[in-house]
Amino acid sequence: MTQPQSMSDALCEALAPQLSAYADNELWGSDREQVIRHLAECDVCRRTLARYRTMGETLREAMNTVTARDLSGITWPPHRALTSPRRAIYNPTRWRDPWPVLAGAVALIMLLIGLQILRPVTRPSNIAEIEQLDAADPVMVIPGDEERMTIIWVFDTGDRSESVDSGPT
Amino acid sequence: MLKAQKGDTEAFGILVERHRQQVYQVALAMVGHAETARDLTQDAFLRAYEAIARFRGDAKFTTWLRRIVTNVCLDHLRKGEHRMVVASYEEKLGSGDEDSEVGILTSHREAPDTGVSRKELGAAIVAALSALTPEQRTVLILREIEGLSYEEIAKTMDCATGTVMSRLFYGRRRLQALLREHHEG
Repeated sequence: MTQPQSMSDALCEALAPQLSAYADNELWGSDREQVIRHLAECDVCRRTLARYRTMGETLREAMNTVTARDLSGITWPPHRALTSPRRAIYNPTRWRDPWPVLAGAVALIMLLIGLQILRPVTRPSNIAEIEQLDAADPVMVIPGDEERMTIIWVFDTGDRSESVDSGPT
Repeated sequence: MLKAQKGDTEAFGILVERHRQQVYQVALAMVGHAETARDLTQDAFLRAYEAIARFRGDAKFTTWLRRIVTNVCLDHLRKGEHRMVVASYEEKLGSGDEDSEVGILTSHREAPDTGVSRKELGAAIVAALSALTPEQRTVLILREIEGLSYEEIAKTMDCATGTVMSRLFYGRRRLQALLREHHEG
């Protein structure tokens, strides 16, 4: 007994993944029985199964044509330098964790900032310090070396808003 | 093996000699380009050499090696370095005529014994593989060429057997559609 076309199509589609597994002998139990029953009455799925198998066989044949000449480029030891397996074990996860690298970078930045802060500050000798004396008119004293200093006395002359007189003491 | 694990380069060279065909076949099927496959085979052996001290022997050496070459090829494919190879797929399939093996494989009629070159069909399938996703391609190769069970493929690729089944199904379906598309187009 065969099923109507539309029902059969829907069943073909539903069983398609199982058919692929059946082709590989990887289907068991009731799933396997269902596929076998379906194959008995579905010509399309029988052809699909045959194509899966042909594809596999042909691919295997194509790959078995590898010759010694194809392999001639694969040499050992390789051209690049080898590292001893004991000293350099391949570890694909080594660089996947960024924290050690980030921590190192932060430590380096902190060290540089610390060095900058702790560096002794040398003041240029030619910078004057200005003091303002407590007087009626503003007087500013610029200390020099032990023997000299400069006094700036700012006073009101009446016709000008302000005048500056200065000279060494 | 023990000598190779102690860093004996010559001992490892014997292992390379013994397994290079198998490793190269997997790489070639995965990338579809001989020169690239040789480079990736070399890379896989280099990785194996660097990691062999950690090989504990609880799996077969071939299984361990297959896993390395599969990962090397998957890394390569995921980086998108395979795109140039896809072009060769277009070229190889472009010349298919109705009676070619490609046509027989993709048509809805039975494949008769026409004596048409299976080599041509094989080349077309290998080329069409490059248009699949890296994961679909890998499961197809491990199943069809290496003959692994779903469970072994799942272990090699670190995934569930259901995922293997699904990838195989969609890979086959896509492969068939690609071959049909080019045969009819």
